[in-house]
Amino acid sequence: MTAEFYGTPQGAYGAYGAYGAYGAYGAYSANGAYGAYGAYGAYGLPESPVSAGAFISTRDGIVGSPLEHISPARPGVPNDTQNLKRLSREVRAAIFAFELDSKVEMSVSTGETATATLWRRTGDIEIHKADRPNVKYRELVEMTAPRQEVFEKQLAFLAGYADIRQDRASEILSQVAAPVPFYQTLSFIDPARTPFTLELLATALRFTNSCEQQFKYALAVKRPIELSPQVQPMIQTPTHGSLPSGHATEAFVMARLIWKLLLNSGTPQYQSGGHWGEMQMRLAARIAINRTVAGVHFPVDSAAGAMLGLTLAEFIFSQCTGASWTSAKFNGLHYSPSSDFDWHGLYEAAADTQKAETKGPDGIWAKAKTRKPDGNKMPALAWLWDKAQEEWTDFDPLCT
Amino acid sequence: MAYEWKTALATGQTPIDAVTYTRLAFGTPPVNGDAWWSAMVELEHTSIDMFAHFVRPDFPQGLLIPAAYDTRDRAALLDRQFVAIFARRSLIEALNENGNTYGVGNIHLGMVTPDKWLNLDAQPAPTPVMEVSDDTVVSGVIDDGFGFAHELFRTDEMTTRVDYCAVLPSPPDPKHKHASQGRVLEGDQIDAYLRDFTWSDLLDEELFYSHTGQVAFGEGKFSPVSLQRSHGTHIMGLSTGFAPIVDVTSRPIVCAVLPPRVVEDTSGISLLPSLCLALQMLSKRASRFQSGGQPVPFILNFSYGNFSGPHDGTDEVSRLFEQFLAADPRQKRWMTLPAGNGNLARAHGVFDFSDPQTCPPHLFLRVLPDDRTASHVELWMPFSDAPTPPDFVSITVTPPFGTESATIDAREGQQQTLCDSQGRVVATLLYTYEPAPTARGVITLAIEPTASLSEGKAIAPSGRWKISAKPKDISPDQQIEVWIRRDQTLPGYRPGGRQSYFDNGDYKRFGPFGRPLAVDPQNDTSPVRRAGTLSGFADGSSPMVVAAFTRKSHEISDYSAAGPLTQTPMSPTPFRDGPDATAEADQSLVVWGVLSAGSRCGSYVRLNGTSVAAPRVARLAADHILSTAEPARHWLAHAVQEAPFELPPDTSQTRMGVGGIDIPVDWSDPPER
Repeated sequence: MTAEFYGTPQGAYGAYGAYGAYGAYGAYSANGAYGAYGAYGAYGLPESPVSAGAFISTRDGIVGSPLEHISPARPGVPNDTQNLKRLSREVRAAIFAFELDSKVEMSVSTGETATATLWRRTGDIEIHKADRPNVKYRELVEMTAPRQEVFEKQLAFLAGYADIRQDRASEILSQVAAPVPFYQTLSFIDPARTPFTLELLATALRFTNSCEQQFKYALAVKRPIELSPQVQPMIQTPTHGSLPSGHATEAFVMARLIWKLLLNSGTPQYQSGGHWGEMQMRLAARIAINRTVAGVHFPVDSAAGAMLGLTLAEFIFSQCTGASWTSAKFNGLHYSPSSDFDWHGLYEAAADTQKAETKGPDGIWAKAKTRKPDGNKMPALAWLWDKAQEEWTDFDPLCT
Repeated sequence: MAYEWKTALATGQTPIDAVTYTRLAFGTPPVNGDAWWSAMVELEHTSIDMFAHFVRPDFPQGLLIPAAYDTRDRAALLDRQFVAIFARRSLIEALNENGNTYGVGNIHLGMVTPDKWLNLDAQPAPTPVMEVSDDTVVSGVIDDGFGFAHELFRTDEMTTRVDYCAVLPSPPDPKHKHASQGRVLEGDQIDAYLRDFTWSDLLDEELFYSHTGQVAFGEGKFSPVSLQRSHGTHIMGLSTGFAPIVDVTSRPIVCAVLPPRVVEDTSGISLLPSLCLALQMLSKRASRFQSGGQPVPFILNFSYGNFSGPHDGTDEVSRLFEQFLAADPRQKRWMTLPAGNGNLARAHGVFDFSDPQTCPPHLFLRVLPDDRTASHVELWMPFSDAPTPPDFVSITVTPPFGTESATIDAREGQQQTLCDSQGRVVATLLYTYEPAPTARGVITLAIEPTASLSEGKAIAPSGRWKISAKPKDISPDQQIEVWIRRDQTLPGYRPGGRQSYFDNGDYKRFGPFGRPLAVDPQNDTSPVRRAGTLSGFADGSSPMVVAAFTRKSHEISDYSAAGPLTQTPMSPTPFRDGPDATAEADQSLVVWGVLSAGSRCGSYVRLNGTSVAAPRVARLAADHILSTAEPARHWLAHAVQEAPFELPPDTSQTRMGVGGIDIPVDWSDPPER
């Protein structure tokens, strides 16, 4: 893998990457979308002995005597987002990742089942001062694992969904890696046209993957293949836990962030009706359900993952823009084993709003609450968002 | 493993139906005696009420008459009538005895029906008249699943054209008290679901189909509606699909979803009870559509077929269709059926004894390994209305690893069983007599699965079985017709059936250029025949039977099955020589199939087979049924002249009927008045 891929949305090496996922770059090349990055290869390999030798001999040939009077350069401007455009994408990726990763913490408690809570750091750090930060945390996502019997009973869904594997096989195999090309079929995402949108999505997915993996690790829910020898998944089961579904989480993060870009673009076709958002969510749900068809996830994993993804998307958006955010709870103890995954119970795309309560046969299993802004936007992330947002703003024919 | 034939002693009453007998005796996994089996009985000079009365003392908890039969139906005393029932095993066994005292002349076993699919307290529905415009034609479809939320079946986003859908493989809706099996959906309820599950003008179809009872992954129930391409949706699109912009209100749709387990039971015969029930339910519903006090016409498409049966128009399915078509004399009813796709299946053979100089023939049956369903071969004797039919032939069977059986004669009580070294039955050779109007003896070779994942299950040997016949009391112009039942599991279904076929060395499969031969070569001596492969459902007198053509090559599609019928009681004027006409089913040899509705809104997919040819005719027929006084098949013959599609002049009538007919399907065109 070359460093250049670091800045592209590859699912942050987790849910998407766990299993030879990088062999699945074919999915990208199928669209030719990422072929555009090959342009960087035109510079050759600076680290190669051949080119290094050439640079040495070239210098020897032309360096000349030491110069006495060279005009002084300005010192670099510290902590300024103007520097970002001069950084390579992989360097920027590290900066964006730091801004997001440093904003969250997780705690875990064990009751009847495990509960993991993702905390969001609040309070502004004066980033121009060297004082010791004084921060607090507020609850962002609380997730309680269902009882084991829920998973055992949901094996019935896996048996039923297995019947349609032949029909979904090409989708499932294409979605082992980050299914960005599927989103490219809904909205005009392309490395040449929307490079910052891709960078934003990559940033979001890396962060999302860290969070979801932490939830999976904390809750330690076993995979279907451990509950029955008759699941026989059609792809390899990743080694990480089953709930929440990483694919569902990341698919809904992508769907909601893209939808927010469209909504906030001012571009006419995206502004009313909610059609574009609805389609993004339908795609995300399809990707999530395909993992159940494949035999590696229970429907309840997708429900938890969708809730997490929707909430993290809102969180990332708030970090980029300083907007309001949403806290959410998933209580698996009230998730009925008879419930299939239904994203409409969690979210209304037209209003871009998570539902306050989601109820099933066994009670309320999800809650969400919109919170007022409580901190500044993060400068580097804000820069990235603005760049990505600009890519979706249409031209006004009167202003040519 | 060594196998040995044993002569089974005839004890007690002989069974009426061999398959019902062998399935209950050997072929089904252990089933609780309290389980409800679906079955179709043929009552002779017995009303449903009388039948129930006869049964009640012996089996007080053993019978359920579906609510689809109302008071009038139950009181009707007819010479013969088919009735769908649910019954416990002990009653089924009693009804399958020749000479039973319950008024049952014939019986066919369906399937074990889950209790949760049944409403034992259901009552017949009231049948108020629905007044409709005088240009209305009711469109009916029975199939394995319908994506009826597709836009081709709506007049707008929130309004369906489906007036009634019986989803048999589903738990009943507690609010609907009038269906003994499954979920009944009416138009207003479908509209409510369309409203409830639409966001941003987009219907959440996963939710829609789970609430309408068709999709239930958690119950392990397979529905083809979950697939990109579903047979029923495609067929419905061709027969009665219209774009919403056309705003068609004159083609209300009534439909029934057959249980997938029945479809999975690739022996086909267990389809009958569900089909019988579905026909009854749609029949009652369709009669309600009236204009000026008169029921409006009703056209039903049923794109299913089977290989087996007597192929003379007297079989139960054909007679069931006739019963349905005549059930409401006030209502003009037409029906379309596919000719079948078994032309190259090598599932039909003939024992011909016309030349005494030649050796008695053999049929070699290739039974495939890893076949997890039973295989059945039927050897049909010539028609005979004699009180004691002649003993036409004697049959022996030699399995791949074992000795030749003792002869089975065409006489009551003849039975041989093939047992493995542990004494378990792996095959049965049995003579039964199919009563009038079929009036033929039939020797059935029932071969148990050749593979099983269950421990201790008897496994029949795969390989080449030899079926030998010796003439006895048979004249030179008479033949023994042999068909292998359909036994191929369709994609997505579970049981793992593999189709047996005749594997005689003298059967010529390919022509000089390597293409499959679609017609038996002239002077062919092979007993394996393409002729006579017409679907066992499609030999009746009234339905329009449709073969398939390939548009670009102007040929009959290779798979399209052909007549003629066997020698019938009606000979020399049988109901038909083959299909009535031929319609498009393939675009070209390369681009197979035709486009129609996919399982989800906005999708259009390809499907081929005579299944997709028949609904084209149904579509055209709906435009003309009001304006013609002719019976259906006569109308179709004239319609072929009106819109002929050129086929090779040497194509026999047994393959194409009166000819090809070009029926465009443009969903944006409104129906003709």
